[in-house]
Amino acid sequence: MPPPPPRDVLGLARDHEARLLPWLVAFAGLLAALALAGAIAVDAFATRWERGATAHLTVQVPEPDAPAAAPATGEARVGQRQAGQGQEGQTRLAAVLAALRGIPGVALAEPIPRARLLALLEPWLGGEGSTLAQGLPGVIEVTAGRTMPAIAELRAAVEAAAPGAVVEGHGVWVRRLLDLAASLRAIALLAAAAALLVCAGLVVFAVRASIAAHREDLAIVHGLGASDGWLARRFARRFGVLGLWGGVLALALAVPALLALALLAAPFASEPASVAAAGSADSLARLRAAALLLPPSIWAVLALLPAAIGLVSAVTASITARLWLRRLP
Amino acid sequence: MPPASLPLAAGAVVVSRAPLARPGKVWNSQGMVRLDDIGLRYGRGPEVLHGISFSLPEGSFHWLTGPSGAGKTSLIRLLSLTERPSRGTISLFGRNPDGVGRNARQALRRQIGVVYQDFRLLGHLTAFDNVALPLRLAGEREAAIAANTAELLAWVGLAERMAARPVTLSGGEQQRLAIARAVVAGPRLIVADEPTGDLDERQAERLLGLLVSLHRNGTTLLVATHNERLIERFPAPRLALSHGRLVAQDG
Ligand SMILES: Nc1ncnc2c1ncn2[C@@H]1O[C@H](COP(=O)(O)OP(=O)(O)OP(=O)(O)O)[C@@H](O)[C@H]1O
Ligand SMILES: [Mg+2]
Repeated sequence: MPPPPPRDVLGLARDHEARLLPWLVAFAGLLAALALAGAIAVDAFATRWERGATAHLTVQVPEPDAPAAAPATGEARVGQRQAGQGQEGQTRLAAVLAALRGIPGVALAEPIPRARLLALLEPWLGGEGSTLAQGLPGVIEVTAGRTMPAIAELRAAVEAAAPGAVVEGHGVWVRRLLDLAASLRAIALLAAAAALLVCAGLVVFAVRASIAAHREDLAIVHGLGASDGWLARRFARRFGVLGLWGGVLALALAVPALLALALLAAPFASEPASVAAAGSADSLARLRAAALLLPPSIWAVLALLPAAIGLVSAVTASITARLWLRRLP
Repeated sequence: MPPASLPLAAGAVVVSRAPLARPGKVWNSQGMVRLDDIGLRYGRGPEVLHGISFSLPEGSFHWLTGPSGAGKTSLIRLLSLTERPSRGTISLFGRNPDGVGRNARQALRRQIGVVYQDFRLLGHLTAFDNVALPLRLAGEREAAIAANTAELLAWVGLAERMAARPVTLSGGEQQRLAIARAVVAGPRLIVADEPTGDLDERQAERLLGLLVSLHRNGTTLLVATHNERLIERFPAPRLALSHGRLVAQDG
């Protein structure tokens, strides 16, 4: 019975040096994994901030008790008609309240009672008797429902009901945080791309070393009529598998690292369940809570990482081999 | 010709001990191999082949002779596409191997069986896998590969050494392996460089008989040798080289 066909015509699997490659790739892959996880986490947190910040607005109405002026412009009239409650003799605060409540997407619009406002501000303004307290604006807390009203729409309606009223959307802070998050995410993605480039660079060096070791055999098989593509596929297969192993090792390193980070972050989580679990003595429950704290897409991306690194390695090996093979006659 | 018929055809030749050259035969006038004013230099060194022109008709058999250093191996390296000529043009099967793309050049190569003077076997593969390689490169099915390779290895007397690595084989065994690898895929052209240098007379005749039987089945054959007894035994026209020039072309 003849022996089974060799899958490894060039004897590439016999290079012992190449066995180091998965470990080197694993460290670069770990960096890629952490950077990707960072990018996803920043993304998820930014979305949470954005939602939380825009869900709560405050509207300040100067001179809340003054009578609301009759709407002057057609635009404003439309706004009032939408509110449905524009009435003569109304205070400015009431007019704004009515306008806000008429906007779809606004779940709740409640004035903060003047007494509570004064209590809150007492350290700065002094008590009820202080002159400063006389000029206090009326403050309305607005909670958005599931569908967020456009802030411009709110502004238009509020301005129409009581000129000079201000919608305080925490917008500046949210914008700054979102800008920060966007640049963090860009940096993390760049770092992940750089780590993958390092993987590819490691493969280039390993393939070159392998070619040098098999120069004679390559020339022989080329002489027998093997096409560049056929020879390059031997390298792609061999180094694709080594890269895949590197990716699996990277995953094995990245998962505990991310869980450890999540464990550290759990006590600061906004979900009460996570905070409770973080304090529990059951370490398994703590781990599970920590894992749940991370956005699920992190696990999906991490699961794809070994295959992605394997693919990058295979393609890099193929290109490196093809470039070298062009020297053969 | 399908590879399966190789060993049987070869065996038939050995049984029939008739003279193989057919003087007076009219060759196909269209050269399957044509060299036109070929010169070769290695790197920046001196020219080692000068103005070589000849053509080998389809299905012909020629000896390539000349003293050591005359340029036989260099000429075979040109014909096996291992070197590119530094001047002149080559035509193989009607195509210019230096004017086609890389894949087409490799496809031409797969139609040329080469027995190298230094064998050029793959050291980490078994004897079986060395011989099977051209069939695998040709994309043959594994079942057909197994049958043909085993039969051919048996025919060259290596049935017992199928799983052996080339380094564990004697010089003569390696040479037989190299010949088996050159012929296994049924090439259109076979060029052999001293293919019997390490064989005893009986083996030399037997292996040359294999090559000549392929020629009789239509393969074009060029064999370089110093062995005048073998040339006598298998008379055929001769290309004689001296100092890198073609000095005689009889037949
Ligand atoms: N790779 C090479 N680089 C430079 N010069 C070479 C090379 N190979 C051969 N030569 C030179 O080319 C000339 C012809 O050599 P070649 O090997 O073709 O001769 P040959 O007829 O095959 O000799 P032999 O019968 O000893 O095998 C010689 O002068 C040799 O030194
Ligand atoms: Mg020679």
